[in-house]
Amino acid sequence: MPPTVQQSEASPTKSTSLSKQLPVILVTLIIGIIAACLVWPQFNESTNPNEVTTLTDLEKRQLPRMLAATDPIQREGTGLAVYGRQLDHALPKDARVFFSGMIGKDHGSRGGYYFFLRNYLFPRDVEISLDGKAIYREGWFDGIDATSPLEAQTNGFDVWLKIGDDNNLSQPIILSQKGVPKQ
Amino acid sequence: MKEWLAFILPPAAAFAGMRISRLVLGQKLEERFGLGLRFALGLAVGMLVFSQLVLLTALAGINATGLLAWTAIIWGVMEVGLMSPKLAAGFRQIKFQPAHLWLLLLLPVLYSWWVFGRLCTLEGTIEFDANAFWVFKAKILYLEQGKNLVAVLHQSNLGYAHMDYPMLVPCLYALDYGLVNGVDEYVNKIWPFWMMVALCLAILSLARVWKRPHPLPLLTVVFLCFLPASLQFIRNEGGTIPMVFFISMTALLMVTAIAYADEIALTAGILVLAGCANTKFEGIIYTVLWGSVALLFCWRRGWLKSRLLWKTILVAAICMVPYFCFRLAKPVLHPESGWMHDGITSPGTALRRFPQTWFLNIGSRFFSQDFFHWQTADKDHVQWAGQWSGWNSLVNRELSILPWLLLFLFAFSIWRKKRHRLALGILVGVIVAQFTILSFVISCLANMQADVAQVIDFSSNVVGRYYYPFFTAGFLGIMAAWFVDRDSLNPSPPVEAAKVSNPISTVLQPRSKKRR
Repeated sequence: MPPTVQQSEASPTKSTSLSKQLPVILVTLIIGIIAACLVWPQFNESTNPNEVTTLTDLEKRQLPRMLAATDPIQREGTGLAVYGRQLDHALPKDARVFFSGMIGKDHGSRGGYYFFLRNYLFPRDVEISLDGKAIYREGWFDGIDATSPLEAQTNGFDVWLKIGDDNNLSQPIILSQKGVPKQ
Repeated sequence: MKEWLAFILPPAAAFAGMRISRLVLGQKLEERFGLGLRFALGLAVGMLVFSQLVLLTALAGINATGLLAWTAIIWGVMEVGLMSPKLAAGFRQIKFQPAHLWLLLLLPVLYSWWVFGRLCTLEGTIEFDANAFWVFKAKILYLEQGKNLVAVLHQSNLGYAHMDYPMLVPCLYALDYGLVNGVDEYVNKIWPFWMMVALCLAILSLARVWKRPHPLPLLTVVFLCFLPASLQFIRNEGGTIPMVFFISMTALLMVTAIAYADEIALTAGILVLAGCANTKFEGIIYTVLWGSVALLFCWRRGWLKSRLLWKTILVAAICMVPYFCFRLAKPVLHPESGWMHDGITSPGTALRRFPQTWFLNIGSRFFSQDFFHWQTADKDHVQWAGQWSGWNSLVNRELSILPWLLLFLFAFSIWRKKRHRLALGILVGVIVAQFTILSFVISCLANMQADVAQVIDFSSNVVGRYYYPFFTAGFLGIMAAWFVDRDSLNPSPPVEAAKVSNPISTVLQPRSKKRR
């Protein structure tokens, strides 16, 4: 193979060797300065004690909190994930759950609740449409909602969950013996 | 205890993958690439092979996650046992010199690994998308197989979960569940953590920092690890870090392959491309783009007759078979999967939306959200509503000043690195083409066509995680041109330099061969 461009440019003198090094030194300096600007803030603690924004916060605030939580279900404090884990822990695996308030274009923003709880409650049958054939359109669900817990009960569901008009998740209503949470 | 077992699964899969990649690429792989790069390549190949076996067996009605995970662990341990004498000998060969003090620059990176390494088995699922799609699909794969799995895939109310997406990531999580014998969301983050570690080792190995320590590759690794997006996504589940890993590995290998006409790097890149295609939709586009470039390159170099090349393509194609079978099962589609249909239905609107989408998607990566803030009054035209807040306006929330740095580095490298011009030109060309195709796909979506406000919102809040892997890959590919080139970091005496015909192969050959 013939000598490459890089080699043909190799200079025999020290001064040209230094001039060849200058671009590398420049690039190294630029990357180094930017890297330092990125690293430095990560070693400071946030002023707000509840905030976890830097690496130091993660080590000094988040890690001890996680290590102290003996129950994995409660590890993240509060939130939908904890609620999902609690429901998953409490309900029998074959319980059928009806999730009301999801159908319709106007209720597209509520989808997040269903997506989250569908994951935590799998493999249970979690329906949002009485015919079990809800179709996901662009950001919303098409289907037949149950108007009352009684209607869901008649269709064989064991637990009723509802997103209210305030977009908040209501407490589950137990529709059958199977839906009774275990302690 | 079970978290510890899960924690060693990715490196075990990497050691097993090292053997597989050696079987495919041959003995030359060890001669050309250092341990770090082989480890990262092993992780790519190991993840690809084991995940696709999980998918294939699940489709066949078998839950083989436990068996496969234990196979990976045992295989990995055996490989470490077999490699340890070589490793010890290699370590003894390293002559410590004052330049090794540059390695102290890695201390912040080691600290971040210490923190993230501990957190990855303690934190639950953080990312919304991961909860709704990635982790959910892993749970489905672990709990349902065969006809039951196909029945779940057909449920119309699961259309939101992107059931048709490539399954590498859910399969990796399912592999962990098999190992710990149950669904456990506290073991998912182990994979992105190890992928970032492996990518850093690959960079350091490519630059041969143990033999020729230089601050440039070390600072590159520090930069990569402390990029705001890296700090955020290493804690998140989902496809972002896997995309960073596969796409960046491809960039590193392809730049090396093109600049030094290195067949081993090219074939290794093809194996990694199969991982890209099995990870996300963007990865499929990236694979097609690089595949086309590689084909042209091989044709120009006369490598199309190479048995090694075709053997590698065959292996990569076989790794795609499980996903192909999965798609034959016709999983329920997400409405966004109909982008092509939406585009064909109203091509005029899609084409009108395209330049806006391209501009918003790429522009959002260069500036802060306060500055690059847009609104619409008529759902069709965009108006600037931002404000200049000093130099901070040039700092992006996720990428910091990486996009600006890339512009400078690309121009500077094209000027100074004559040997790498073709490789860097192709790399940047592929990435710009990727951005353009992604923007076109987004502009075809019905909701984007209907209201440009959707495009504005999408480009500022969602697109960042789609583009971050490509900015990272571009950065690492360009940096590779600087630190793979031995002469640029440590100029050799002219006589020695004149003897070198192919720096990469000579650089990466063991000492005994060099003497010969």
